[in-house]
Amino acid sequence: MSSKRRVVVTGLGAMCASGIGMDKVWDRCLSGHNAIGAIQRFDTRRYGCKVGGELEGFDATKYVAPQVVQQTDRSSQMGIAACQLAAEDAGLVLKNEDPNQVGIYFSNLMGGMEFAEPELYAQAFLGAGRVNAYQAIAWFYAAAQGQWSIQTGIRGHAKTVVADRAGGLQSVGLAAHAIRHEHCNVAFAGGFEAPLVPYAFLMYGTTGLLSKDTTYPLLAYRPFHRKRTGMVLGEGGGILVVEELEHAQARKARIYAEITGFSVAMDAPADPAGSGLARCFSEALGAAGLEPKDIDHVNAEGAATQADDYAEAAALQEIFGGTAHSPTVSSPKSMFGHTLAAAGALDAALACKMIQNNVVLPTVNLDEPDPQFGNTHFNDQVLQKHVDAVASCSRGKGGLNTVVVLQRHN
Amino acid sequence: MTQVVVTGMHAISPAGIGLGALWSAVRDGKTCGETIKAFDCSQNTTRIVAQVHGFDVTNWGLTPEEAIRLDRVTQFAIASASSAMASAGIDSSKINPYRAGVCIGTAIGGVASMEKAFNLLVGKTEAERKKPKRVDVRPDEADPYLFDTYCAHSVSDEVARRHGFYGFCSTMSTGCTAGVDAIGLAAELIADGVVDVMITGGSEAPITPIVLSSFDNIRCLTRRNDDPTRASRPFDRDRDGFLLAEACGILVLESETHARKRGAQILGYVLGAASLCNAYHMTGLPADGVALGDTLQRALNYSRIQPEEVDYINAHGSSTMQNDRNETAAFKIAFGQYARTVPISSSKAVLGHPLGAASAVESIISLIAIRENVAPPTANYENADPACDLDYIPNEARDVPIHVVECNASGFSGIHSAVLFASSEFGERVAARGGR
Repeated sequence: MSSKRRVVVTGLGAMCASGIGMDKVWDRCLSGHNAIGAIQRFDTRRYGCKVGGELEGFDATKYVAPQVVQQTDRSSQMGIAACQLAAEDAGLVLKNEDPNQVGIYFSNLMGGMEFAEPELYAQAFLGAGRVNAYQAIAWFYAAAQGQWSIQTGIRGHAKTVVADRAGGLQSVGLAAHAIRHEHCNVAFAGGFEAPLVPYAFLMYGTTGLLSKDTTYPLLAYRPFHRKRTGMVLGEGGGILVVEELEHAQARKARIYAEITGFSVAMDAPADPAGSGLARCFSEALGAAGLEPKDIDHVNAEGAATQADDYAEAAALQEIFGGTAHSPTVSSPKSMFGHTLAAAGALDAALACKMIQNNVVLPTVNLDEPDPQFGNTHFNDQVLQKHVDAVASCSRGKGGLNTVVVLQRHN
Repeated sequence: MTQVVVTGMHAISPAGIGLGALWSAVRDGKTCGETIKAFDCSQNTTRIVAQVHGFDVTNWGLTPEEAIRLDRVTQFAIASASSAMASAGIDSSKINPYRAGVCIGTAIGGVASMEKAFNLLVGKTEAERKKPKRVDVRPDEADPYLFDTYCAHSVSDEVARRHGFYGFCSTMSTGCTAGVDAIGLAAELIADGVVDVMITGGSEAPITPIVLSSFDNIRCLTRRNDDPTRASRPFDRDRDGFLLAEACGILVLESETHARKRGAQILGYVLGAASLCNAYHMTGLPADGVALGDTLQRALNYSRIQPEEVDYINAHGSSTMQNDRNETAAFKIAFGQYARTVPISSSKAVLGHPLGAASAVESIISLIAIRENVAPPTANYENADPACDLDYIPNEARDVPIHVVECNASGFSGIHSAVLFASSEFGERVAARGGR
């Protein structure tokens, strides 16, 4: 991050099992509401995991033109809707912007599988001619960025990345990177995911990461708990309007936070557990010019598997343990499920709200933190505290780590 | 600011394995289209592709387990990256692994494996002639690695782990521009000082029934089934769609300082990359070429290059009428009068269109063109399209001094991207211009 251009967040768009719209999601999370339940969208009898965070009451036609609804997957529709909500929240009037200076940075992991599944069936059993022509534009990873660009006339630098569960947070970091590199002045950044359809859910299940202890849906997802049993998936979309500081100031935008650090680093198998994440925190803090003691809160990945939480906790202990002002640590996604490529973006959006409100969100179901996780302060309740800096982290398979640092803008 | 150089490269393409096979086919116009034999496509309107032959995973140090666990798209990337690293002369144990990263592009990742597994796991519904809203699958019978096989992040992730590159890692998935987009991001991360070395490029293995049918049904593929070697004909009046292909092109990029310190041979400089969108249509292209023209101008500006300094253009030239006209208009916008002079060609006549890998392989062709001082031709060019009136280097390679090449791509979702490469000597001169 060599350039002098500063990058701020000015708009938030979110939807997940907790609700539609940032305010709704924030209010639900503030009340500690757990939105995870038995999956209703398809028959889960054959699956080990039977619970998820379903997005209810989402009407795509409120955000997407009818003919475009027919040619898009649910995940893209959530992405487009989150973009609209974020633009409204930012007060960003796109017709006033130079279309070449508005960028898009998206991430998605499973692709448009809800759209694709019947088409795969058609190819297998009904014949090649029965495959919907829109399959060519509905399933692929870059579908949503194209549809959002066409719907709005945005013509700027636009990229979609796939980085397992770290993709959404990478998109936020890469938006800041692109703005510093003068590819654009303002951008829509984040991710969206719709993994709760039979074949996508089957494929994700092969990771072995999902909780199979789902008799009590509300207790299935317990990051950092002594008796944690794995991850629970959710549907959702999280989009941030990310903007060059002077551009934001010129249009008198409300500034939630400044993006001051971004790093991607992988765990090396030969190194101790979580050391890649520790390095990632350290590099992101270095880029922000901050010390560990300057961080007030950490949004943790909280995959809730034995090994993932152990590695994450080790990294947190290495970087933040033993400092006099050790940050609170939580995984708000414990309330609405892991939304894969949307998760890091939703975390970043929630971080902005934490800074705005001087409140940190909890990890729910954390009545017994794993005692081997040292003195890290995992908060299981909403806490009012001064929040000037949040480090948000996402971790993909095998320790594909991303950290973004968000700070109060002064 | 740190300059970015190319120190290693390798390609797997329908022309063969390696750079020698690639270059001789592209230079001599030996086209690769052929009839699909891998699966029954008798119900498809298009039944031709360009595919890779002789790729044996066991030659590339992949274990039998990896041969099953990894999709062909990832196997291509692993094999090509190993050779590119060997050609760069980088010993992974002698560089800082935390300042080394991977960003490889792919449009669709492991779709072939995903489709194959689907067909094994799905149950046929009673209402046979109808598409079910929800499919019925058998999770208890799924292979335990299916997610990794399918998802596009494995393409970069597996390469990173194999070489012990533990810095930046992400898969660029911007459809048919993914290769140059990955190269552009990789170069910027080096220029920023975030990393010293990046493995980048693009990989694609899309020759599978669902992909063929979806492109077929949207009518973007060539239907010249009886004449596969002449089916891909960019800029020719009689082109009728692109020739679906598979390929992989991997480049090793380094900061100039890092490369010089270890005495590496510098194959060329990455001067700069740019990308914009047309906001026009998911698959169609406007005839005006404005968005691509803007992209090319931005790439020239970022690269600190005057239009007249570009010696050769490796075009997208996908062999669709819309692309060829859009691209021709864009060259006129960005290069002005000089558009009529600069030699332009599309390698897709020979190789077909391997989606996200295309512009990575074409970047490699661009760098070989610089080394050889040869502008490769557009093969299968027989009849001029009045709307495409530039010098497309018809059929015969041309000996010309080449210091700077512009290589561009366009794709679904309306994305346009461009990157500029320079010879080692010219790159040093551009670096001395300062600026960025």
